[in-house]
Amino acid sequence: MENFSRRNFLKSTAASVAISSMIGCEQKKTAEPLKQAAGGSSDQLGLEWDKAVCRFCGTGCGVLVGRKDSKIVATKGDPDCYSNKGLNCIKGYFLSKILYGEDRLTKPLIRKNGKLEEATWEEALDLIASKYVEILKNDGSNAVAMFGSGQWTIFEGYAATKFMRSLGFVSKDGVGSNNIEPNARMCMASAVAAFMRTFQSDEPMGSYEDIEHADTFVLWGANMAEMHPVLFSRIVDTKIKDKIHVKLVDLGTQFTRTSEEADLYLQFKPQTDLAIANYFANYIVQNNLYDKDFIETNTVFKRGQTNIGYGLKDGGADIPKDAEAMFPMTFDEYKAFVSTYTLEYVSELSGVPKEKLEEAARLIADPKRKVVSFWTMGFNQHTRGTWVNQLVYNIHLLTGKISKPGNGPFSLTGQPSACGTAREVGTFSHRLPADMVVANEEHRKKTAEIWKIPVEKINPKPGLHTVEMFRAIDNGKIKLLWVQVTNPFQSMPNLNRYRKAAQEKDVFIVVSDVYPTRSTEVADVVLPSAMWTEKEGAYGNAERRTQHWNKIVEPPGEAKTEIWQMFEVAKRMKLDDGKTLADLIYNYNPETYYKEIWEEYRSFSLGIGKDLAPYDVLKEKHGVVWPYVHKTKEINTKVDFTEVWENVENPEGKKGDDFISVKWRYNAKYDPYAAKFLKDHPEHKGEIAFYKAKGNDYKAVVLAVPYEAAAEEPNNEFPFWLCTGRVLEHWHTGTMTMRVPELRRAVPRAVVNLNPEDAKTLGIKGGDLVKISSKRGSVVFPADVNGRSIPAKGSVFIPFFDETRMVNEITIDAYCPISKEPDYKKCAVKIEKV
Amino acid sequence: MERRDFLKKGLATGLVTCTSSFSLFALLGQDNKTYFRPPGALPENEFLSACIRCAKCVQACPYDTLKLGSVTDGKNAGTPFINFREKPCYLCEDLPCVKVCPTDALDIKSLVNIDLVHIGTAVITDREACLSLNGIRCEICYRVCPMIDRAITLEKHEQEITQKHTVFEPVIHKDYCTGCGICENACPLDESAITVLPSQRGDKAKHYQYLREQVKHKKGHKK
Amino acid sequence: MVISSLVIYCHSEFLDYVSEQIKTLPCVEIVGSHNSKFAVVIETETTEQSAELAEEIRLFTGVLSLELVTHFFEDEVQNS
Repeated sequence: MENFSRRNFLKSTAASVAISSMIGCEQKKTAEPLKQAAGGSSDQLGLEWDKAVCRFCGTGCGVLVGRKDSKIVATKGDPDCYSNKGLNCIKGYFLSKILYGEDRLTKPLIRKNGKLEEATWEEALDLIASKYVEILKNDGSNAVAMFGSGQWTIFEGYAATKFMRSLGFVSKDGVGSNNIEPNARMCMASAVAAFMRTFQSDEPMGSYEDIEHADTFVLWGANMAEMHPVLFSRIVDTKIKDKIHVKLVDLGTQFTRTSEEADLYLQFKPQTDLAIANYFANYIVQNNLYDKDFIETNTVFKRGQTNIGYGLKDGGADIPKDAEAMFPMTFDEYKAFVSTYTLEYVSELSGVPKEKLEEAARLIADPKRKVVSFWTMGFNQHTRGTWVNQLVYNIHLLTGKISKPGNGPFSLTGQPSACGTAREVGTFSHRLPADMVVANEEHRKKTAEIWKIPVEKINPKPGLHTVEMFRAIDNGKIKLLWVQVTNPFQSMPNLNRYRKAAQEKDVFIVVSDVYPTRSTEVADVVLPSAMWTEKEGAYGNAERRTQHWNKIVEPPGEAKTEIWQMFEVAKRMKLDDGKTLADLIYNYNPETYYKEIWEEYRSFSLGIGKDLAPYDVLKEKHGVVWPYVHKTKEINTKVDFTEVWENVENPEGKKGDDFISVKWRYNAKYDPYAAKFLKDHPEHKGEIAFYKAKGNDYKAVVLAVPYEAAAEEPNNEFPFWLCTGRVLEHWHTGTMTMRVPELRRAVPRAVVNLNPEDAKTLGIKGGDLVKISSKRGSVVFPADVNGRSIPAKGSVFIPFFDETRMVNEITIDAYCPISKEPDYKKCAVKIEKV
Repeated sequence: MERRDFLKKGLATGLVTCTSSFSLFALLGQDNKTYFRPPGALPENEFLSACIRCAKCVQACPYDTLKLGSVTDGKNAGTPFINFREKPCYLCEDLPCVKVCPTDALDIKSLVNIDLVHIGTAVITDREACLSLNGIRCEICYRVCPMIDRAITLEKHEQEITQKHTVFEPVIHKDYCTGCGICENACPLDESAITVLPSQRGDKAKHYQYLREQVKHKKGHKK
Repeated sequence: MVISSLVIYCHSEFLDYVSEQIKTLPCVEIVGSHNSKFAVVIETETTEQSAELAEEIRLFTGVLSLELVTHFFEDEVQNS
């Protein structure tokens, strides 16, 4: 019997295989013609193309977007965009798919009895407006806060800062709220602070084109190969063009894909970048490799306040009042200061072999070499972030390698409009548009004039910066928080504290977003938003290029733009005279408000070396670099450049154009402002002029600051360093990229990268689950020892994109006392196999 | 007469010679499909004889990678195989699938080191579709490779159109590639541009040594 | 026990004739047909017998070619 059934089984198997093989053959034959037919019609798909910019990192790659009917079905790199010349990374390749995740938010949600339930826009907006009015009337403008983003479009950021700073019309104290912050505080505030302290004007002086001109690249704590893939591809091409001469120096705390491409890799102990930068300065000074004429004309030496604390206590109670102070010193005093950073001492402190330190110093200091330094979060997310940014400026200032093609310090950005929106619009708690600050009366006056509101309405006291804003929620001081285009309840350091506060404290949280996130999870109202090309927008990238795009498709369901949301809330805020807040601040024509907002915002920038392009130019061109300077006083409102105009080059236009896009700021050859300055100041030698640094007699600051330890260092209980960051395939908290099935398949989860030796000692194999704990909590991750990233012995790396395992539950909320940017790169943890 | 000999000779002479389309592949599998076996599998013919279709390896696989041939898999019915696109082999260090094998079909002795597993070799099978070769910064296959910088390295060429960017071409090195298929699985294209193909280690020309082999291991990690 | 399956390719005009002829053979069973092909299963004691049957089929008028798809064998009578 048994034999019989087995026989039957075999027979039926044989039969079915024969049948399937018989039929299968035919299907193969017909498959090909079908495929050809599909390919043939692809040329006649009838796509409409329009320009836009990539939604992800700060590189600002131009893309062309193909629409068919009401859907974006294709993208391609924009060959006419100078920033990327038609190439993208894998995130850009899947750009169109971020719009079409299955769980797009399409209806407003209101929390009722602990659950988010669908509601109408009327209900949601009425509720938000009534909460604003109630809290502003009872507690004043300091009790409300807005947390926005370097992914806000410039229009949105501008509307938001205007909204918050005008709440004085409603609040009991009569002044607006400065409690507005972009997530850029967690991303590049240190770069901002250092630019302002050194040059008195924010943002890099150079251009991505530096990459083709330079021969020496110095990367500080920046895994450019993964985080700025398209730019890195340009660096490698420069290397290919001259394999022998061009050098890439990578300084970091872990061996990354960037290190793999580097000619020289310096692995230093966390925080000792401060000492290494001082050693390089020392090398330059001791070996007389500094540019004497340049430093005499263009620099002033200062000493920074020391022992400035870590912001670990609420309200920054552990930070001295004069943490930001800088005191004059002479060159000789500076020389004596850096002389303590000897090769021996720094090698010992940093763990970098002497030969490597010396080799790097030799490359950087060599007067014949053109040096570009790049950095991002390794420097910015640092409890001495402002210092370490400035220490790199020191190197470039001492050698005069700045503001020239192929020479310059270049702070990269991680978000598409960290520059355009967060910095240029000034959506920080202390800033106003175009480098102005709320604490300065002149600045408030100019702002009030353009906004057509009484100057008294603008609050002169800076608001709470990001960490203190979230601490204030925990301390019951902030009663209303509106989060737009970002996900702080996954990305805040020391996350457990702030998630708990959001859930337990009496705070009304509104989140405007496009997908459910870990932040919508704690919201009282969720507003469904339009994203990217579902609305008109503009972003500003790291090389000061502003890129505009049109609305290309409709947002899904009832989703609306953040601008519309703010307009509608402002419309619901009634003032005593019967008007609404919207009548005062958003008095734009509904048909043309984008243009009106742009031109109003642009008026802040004109004539001061921050000149933005007119709306129509922006709409037409595939990205415009600012300063976009007009020749005449009539248009640029202040300066007449006619007499120097012919001497200034216009690399992105033609000689003789009425506008010049400045690719190298402060350089008279490229920057009309510098040319004009030199004309007016004949005593000023050379072709570089830091014309914005009025307060320092038009000189940049070389700052003497020491190495100081990190806020939390490994100890017996928590013996490992933890560093966090990103991976190429995913971006930020993964809300977009994790919804692209292809990217999710490529990197489905966050893993902890271990040093193979540490893994061996701890008995951990690849794939094992590992518990990583700090004083603040613990999270479990699968281990990875394959070597994509190899942290130094005694340290681990974990990316933060995974919403199911949030590494920020264990990171520390210490911050740089000057820039107030938290340090996501250094805290102490222990590792246990689960 | 030895059965296998008979099958080879008898059928081959009896049937194959008289019909051109009658092919020997029928003896090796149902059609052209290649079955990728778990780590440590014997050469395919020997594996098929040694495998007793007990499915223990399939049960032991912690990742649910191993699949069992069904009736439509012909004589491969009941044998374990891997579909990389569904789930690749994650090369468990302790090789649970090999350990449970009651015969020598999966031969633990052949595996001195997990890094020496050789299920097949990955090959960029669609160079036109490969995003990296088109200058897009993808290289996912490279970064997911458990033998990164050994089994897959990146060769750099100038992007011809922009002349400012680099094409990072993933190049697979057979001596290190385990054929785990993690790259094939991760490729973001609809049809993977990198595919694991059957191959044997060391099946290259013995009468000549390339220059690159003479200088191999010269580079190594900078760390 | 030896079980093989084959696909038989025929000239379309001889389909009925071939099918009739196959039905006359012992141990051979038509399990399906598609366009001008038949799938058959042959069950015999030895591989030789299978091969003989396959050869016989091949010689039928109208048969263009045959393709062996599967071949199982176990407990085969060894004629040593």
